[in-house]
Amino acid sequence: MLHFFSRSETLFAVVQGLSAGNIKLMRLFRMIKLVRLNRLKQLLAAIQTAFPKSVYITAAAQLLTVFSLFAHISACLFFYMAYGMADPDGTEYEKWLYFNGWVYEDGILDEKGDLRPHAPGPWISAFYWAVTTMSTIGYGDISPGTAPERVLGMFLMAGGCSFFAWVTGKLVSAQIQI
Amino acid sequence: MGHQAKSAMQANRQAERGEVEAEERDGATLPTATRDPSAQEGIDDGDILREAQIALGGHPFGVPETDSPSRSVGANSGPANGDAHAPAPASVRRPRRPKLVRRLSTYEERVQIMVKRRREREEQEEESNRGNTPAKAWFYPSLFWGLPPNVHTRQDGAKALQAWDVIIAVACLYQGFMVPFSLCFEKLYLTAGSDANTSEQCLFAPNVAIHPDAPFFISRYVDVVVDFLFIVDIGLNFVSARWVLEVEPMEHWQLYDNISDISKLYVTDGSFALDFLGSLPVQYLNCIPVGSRKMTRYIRTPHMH
Repeated sequence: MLHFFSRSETLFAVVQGLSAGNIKLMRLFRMIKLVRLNRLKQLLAAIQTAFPKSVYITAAAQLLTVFSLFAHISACLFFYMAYGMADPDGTEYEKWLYFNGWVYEDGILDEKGDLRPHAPGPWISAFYWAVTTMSTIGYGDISPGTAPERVLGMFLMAGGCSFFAWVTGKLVSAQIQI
Repeated sequence: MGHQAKSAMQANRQAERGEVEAEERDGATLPTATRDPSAQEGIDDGDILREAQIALGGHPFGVPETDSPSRSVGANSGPANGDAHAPAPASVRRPRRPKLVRRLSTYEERVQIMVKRRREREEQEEESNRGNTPAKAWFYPSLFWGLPPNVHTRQDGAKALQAWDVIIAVACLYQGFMVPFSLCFEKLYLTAGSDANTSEQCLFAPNVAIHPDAPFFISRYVDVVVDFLFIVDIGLNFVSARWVLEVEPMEHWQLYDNISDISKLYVTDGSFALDFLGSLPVQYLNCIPVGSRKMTRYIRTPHMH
């Protein structure tokens, strides 16, 4: 066992497999950086402690920040499902994902995977979808079509409901404190 | 959070009444204005009680003043500041207990326990630090809004800490936006004909020049600055004093300014682990040179067309 791990070729192979073979998986490690948002949470709490009488303003700032970040992360993941995982020139499954995904269906990217002129940008469209879904408005003009998008959509719907329940609780508690 | 805000509001109410919040640890000269002269006789722990009430700046729960007419002289466990839950008559004197029983029924008892503990802790500190003074914090955060500034409380570098907090908040917002965005949108903004997997940020890899047309060219350099800021922030957290809301035996703010105490707090409340995890340079993981001959290129920048 020790001999196995002491061989440098094995170590190289593991590192290579991690960094080259599953390069998409490797990139997801960068999401670890998001735990730094804990610091932002501490700062927002400190502001609320420092200005207890402006609880509406501090609560609004807090909610806006959390809402924007949550919607932004969901929007980025939604785009990743339709374009990062998919490929118009890739394998058959990747092609299928692309041509049934929302970015192609809604006319944001063309069949080569390039931006269409005058079309709304992919970020703004994805953010719009995230906000309409989280707020349970759900226009349905942009809707998840493939399996990954639908999985993400389900999580976002559940998360959005919880988020708005949390917001309501926050506002009520702010009112009670005043 | 709501809890903290609530107690800060209560502290603010006390401050509006003009009472002085004094840190008992430093307080050699405590103000005597709030002393009730009739309460001095016949109380066993009257000194402790008075001292603590002055140190705390009044009742922490926003109940009316102590010198109300309903308060009786010498009531060690009598009606506490209009507390309706302990309506013991003044004439009935409770037999003195040999030991302090941990039944936190009245305000006075809680204050006594707190002051006793504080004294014990200070004595222990003095004994353990005999001969050598403990290392103190470099920076002291400001008091909370509404509390009167106290001469006994140091506020070294409070403004600088506030400015630093603003910088860190902006850096946090940048990271919160940029990390998922660069992760998911990088492929779209690559120029045609390039490899789709050039997500690496190999700034420090030798012999690699990132092309100016590469996606998020600027943000790779900003990321280095932000990483540096967060590492400095971890260091600052180890040397900045802390106000901690303690609930045992009653709610009060406690200042911790020994370096050892601050470090222990920072590590044990889990924020150090999160900060450290967030500062790991995971974005450079793809830049590790691997053994294969085909993989000796560190980064594949998009081609110019």
